[in-house]
Amino acid sequence: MTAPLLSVRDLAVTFHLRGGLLRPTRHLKAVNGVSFDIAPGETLAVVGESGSGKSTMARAVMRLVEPSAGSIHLDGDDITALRGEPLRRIRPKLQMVFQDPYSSLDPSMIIADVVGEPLTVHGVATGADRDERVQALLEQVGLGRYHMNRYPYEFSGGQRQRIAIARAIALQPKLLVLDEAVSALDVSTQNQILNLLEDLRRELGIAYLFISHDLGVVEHIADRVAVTYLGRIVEEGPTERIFAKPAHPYTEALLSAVPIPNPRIQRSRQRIVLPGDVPSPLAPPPGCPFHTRCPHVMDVCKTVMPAHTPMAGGGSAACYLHDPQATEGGRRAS
Amino acid sequence: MAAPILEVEDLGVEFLTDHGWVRVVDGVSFSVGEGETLGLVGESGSGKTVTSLSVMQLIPVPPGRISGGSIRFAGRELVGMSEPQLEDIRGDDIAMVFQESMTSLNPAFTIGEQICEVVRRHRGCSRREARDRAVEVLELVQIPDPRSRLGAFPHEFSGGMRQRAAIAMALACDPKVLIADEPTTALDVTVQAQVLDLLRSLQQRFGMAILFVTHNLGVVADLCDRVAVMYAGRIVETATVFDLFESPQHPYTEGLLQAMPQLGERGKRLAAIPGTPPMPWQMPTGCRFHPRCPYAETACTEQDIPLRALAGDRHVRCRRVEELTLEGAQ
Amino acid sequence: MSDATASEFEQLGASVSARRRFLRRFMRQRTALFALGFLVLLALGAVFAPWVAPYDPLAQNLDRVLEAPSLAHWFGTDELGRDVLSRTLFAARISLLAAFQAVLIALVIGVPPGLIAGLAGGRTDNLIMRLTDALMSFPPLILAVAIVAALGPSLTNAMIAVGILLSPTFLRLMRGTAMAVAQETYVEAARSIGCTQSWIIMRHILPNVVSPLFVQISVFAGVAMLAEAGLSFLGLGAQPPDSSWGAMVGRGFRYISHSPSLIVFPGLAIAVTVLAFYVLGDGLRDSLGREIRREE
Ligand SMILES: Nc1ncnc2c1ncn2[C@@H]1O[C@H](COP(=O)(O)OP(=O)(O)OP(=O)(O)O)[C@@H](O)[C@H]1O
Ligand SMILES: Nc1ncnc2c1ncn2[C@@H]1O[C@H](COP(=O)(O)OP(=O)(O)OP(=O)(O)O)[C@@H](O)[C@H]1O
Ligand code: SF4
Ligand code: SF4
Ligand SMILES: [Mg+2]
Ligand SMILES: [Mg+2]
Repeated sequence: MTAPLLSVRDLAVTFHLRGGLLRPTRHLKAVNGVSFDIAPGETLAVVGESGSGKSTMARAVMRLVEPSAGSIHLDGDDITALRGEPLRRIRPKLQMVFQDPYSSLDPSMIIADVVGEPLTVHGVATGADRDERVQALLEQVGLGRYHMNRYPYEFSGGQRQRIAIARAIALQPKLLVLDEAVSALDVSTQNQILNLLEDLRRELGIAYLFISHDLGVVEHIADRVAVTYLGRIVEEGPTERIFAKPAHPYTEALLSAVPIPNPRIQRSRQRIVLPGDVPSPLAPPPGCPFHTRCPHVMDVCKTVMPAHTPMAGGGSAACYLHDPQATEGGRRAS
Repeated sequence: MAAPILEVEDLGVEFLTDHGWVRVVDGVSFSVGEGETLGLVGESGSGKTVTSLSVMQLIPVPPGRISGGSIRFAGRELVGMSEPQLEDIRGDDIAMVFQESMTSLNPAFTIGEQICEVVRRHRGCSRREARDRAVEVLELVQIPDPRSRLGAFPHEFSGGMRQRAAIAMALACDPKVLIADEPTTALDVTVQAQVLDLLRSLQQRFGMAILFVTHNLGVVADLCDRVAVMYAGRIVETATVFDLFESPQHPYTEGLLQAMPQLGERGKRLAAIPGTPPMPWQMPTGCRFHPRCPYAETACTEQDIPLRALAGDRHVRCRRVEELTLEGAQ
Repeated sequence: MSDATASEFEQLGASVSARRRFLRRFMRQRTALFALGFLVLLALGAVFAPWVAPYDPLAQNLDRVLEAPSLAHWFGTDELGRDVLSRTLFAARISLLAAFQAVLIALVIGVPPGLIAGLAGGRTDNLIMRLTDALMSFPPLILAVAIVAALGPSLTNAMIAVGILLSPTFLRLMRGTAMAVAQETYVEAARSIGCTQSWIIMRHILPNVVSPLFVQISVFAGVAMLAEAGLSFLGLGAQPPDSSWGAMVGRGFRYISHSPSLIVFPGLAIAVTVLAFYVLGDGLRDSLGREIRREE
């Protein structure tokens, strides 16, 4: 395998929630001990329940929140602790598209300035040269040049997301982080954007960190998938393997909960409906984070966090069911 | 189909906007039978929410108004009914669950108070009886330890629990019709599966009619008996869920089905209906879908296309139904 | 290489620029438009008072004192026989200028610290807000009288007092708006492409805090005008021979039983102008507000 473009090791992000008079400050581990790699031109999808730390992970990679532990290497350079000017200089390699196409574009700027801003602030192009490049970018994402002087609110959600993508690829990044970039869109518009991403990947060789909770979309676009639960990656591996042979009980439940748009298949499926709710990240359960809802829970699961075990077919899962030594003792105990 | 409990006929709703009075729902007709689940699907802005709010007579006036048509609940006309009469029906015979559970629940009152209030209003029973009923419905929606949860405020519940509490409140008076506007859209898939299971089992037990608004065809396939597809303020196709998925008759329905990412087709280009839906103040002439329809002909642009009845209780608004053979879901 | 089609673009063919859309919305608000028209006319009347006023506002005519409105003197005459219509027009200059001064001072005092508090947060924010609270805890009239007493009675000093009193509202508004805007995703998006802090403030935060500011300015112009009238009525504002509407009411008060028209006309001028500023503020809010919403 080629050297990874992005390499994240043991990443943790903790938010300190300021207490009031009667409440002490609480610590919320939004991301906890997360490691993954992304190769150049590869798409890694991150899926998981709301609040499982996907956006925080993305923002940490983007260096928009401070990691509390771990390291982030981009193109071999350690960017974990970069600040100020050095951080600004690596930004062009690393760009992001946000979930909400309505709040991620400055309403007071015309499109030419929105898309041209990265070129301006990095001194890449100015004046007529910049406008020419902006036109080319707009055309690349399927919008005409006559949109240059319009304001964001004049565009539909799908068009805004195209604008956000044009802006994000303006500096020819190596990695594009897409945080639920198509979730707010109708299926049809969503597909237009996904096709566009596919084209851009082919033309520009960009790698994607693709965050989504829509497994249908993920299966379509991702090379590899990481499944998060309560701030941790519980399973990771090639898309085919994850979808055909999910190893972690949570992944399995997640896959079975996605309704298939075909009544005959959907109504005859064996479904796993998980009981209960996701525990609060302020008080995560000890041991395996999933043990409060897991249909296969054993005694070991409740005390010690399982380590990642490599899986046949690629990737790994953090579950005692796949850890030969632990299962022996665990099964007997329970 | 069972006897219709809710009948909507030729409903028109208009809003006063920057572009004057704009008709956002136009000639919508459908009916829901007792114990039946009708799915109302369509892209964002197609008028699903406006339609479901009209049934509850909850369209904000102004800027909105019901410009025509009739909505009958068990034979009684709701359009033009006096507000006190409507208040008796709302929450009692017809109840609604919204996408954002916070819209149905008041953050300033406990869950228990809110459910009790609904019960006492419509049943005029004692406080104690109302509390018992509240515990009962919370139990129905699988809130653990419901008696002690009566005193909880909405924000103390997780999103999934809040949505279940909102459903409990809607069920408190045994409604005959439940209107659910995207009740699972804001939830995670695993929680969505819980809520869908719950709705299904409640319907089996109590036999209420459900109008289920969603844009998720997977959810429709899971839960609905019949489906009405909306496009640009109009219904373009109605059919049973099996017919609709197997052999859609309207090109828009075909487009929607084809656009669902198919399992096991990695890397293939995704089908997408080109373009975007029209704005309600600039509706295309003739068939409103013609600018995006792959089968459009000149004649499609000329005059309004009526909703036509086909065999097997199907209705389609396309002038080329007979000639076209469309592809269903895989 | 795109899936976007002609129809997607056609739709936008009908769209117009933000400013034109704002204008179109504003034009539909009859009352606000009417208020704006009135204020423009008033400002023109004040600027061109020497040409439009029928008489010299200072020319006394002791033969015709305290006359009721007539064809020669539409608004009547005062205790020195001066034409009240001409005096009202000239007083408009003073009143409008005074309102302008007060709002300007409130802006200068309130906006920068408000922005700093909102953007810096933490201890800076705490300090600024404490100072503001301390200022706000004085009874306003006593504070105004104290400031005027310290600086000496003159209209400008009175307006400095009013400006100081109004500034905390601007400060709070700016702090709140700046805090809200700084939380917006587009600000984070700007950070993610590598914009510097000062660029973000100049290009993303400032342009997005001005709309609510305009609304507040319009409302406060009305408030300042009322305050000026009150202070001048008490003799703390405009000093003779200058006269503002408030001062006219104050002096006319002595002859209220004999010729009520002396206070009716300047009083009406105050009421209508203040109302116009409020209505304009409301109209601006309604036309701007929707720009921010995500509808359509
Ligand atoms: N700025 C913040 N301050 C405090 N807590 C935060 C902050 N941002 C996120 N969190 C918390 O961190 C946890 C992870 O949030 P995050 O937004 O990363 O989840 P997510 O997986 O992206 O969820 P979603 O699918 O809903 O977007 C949540 O419990 C959230 O409440
Ligand atoms: N209060 C309102 N004022 C003006 N127009 C409105 C109002 N409410 C809805 N509309 C318009 O009515 C049309 C239909 O809206 P509606 O909310 O019913 O769509 P929907 O199908 O529910 O979409 P979504 O999937 O986004 O919820 C839209 O064009 C919308 O802009
Ligand atoms: S470790 Fe135990 S609790 Fe966790 S997923 Fe595996 S079996 Fe379930
Ligand atoms: S009427 Fe014509 S344009 Fe409309 S859906 Fe049928 S074929 Fe397409
Ligand atoms: Mg997120
Ligand atoms: Mg809706």
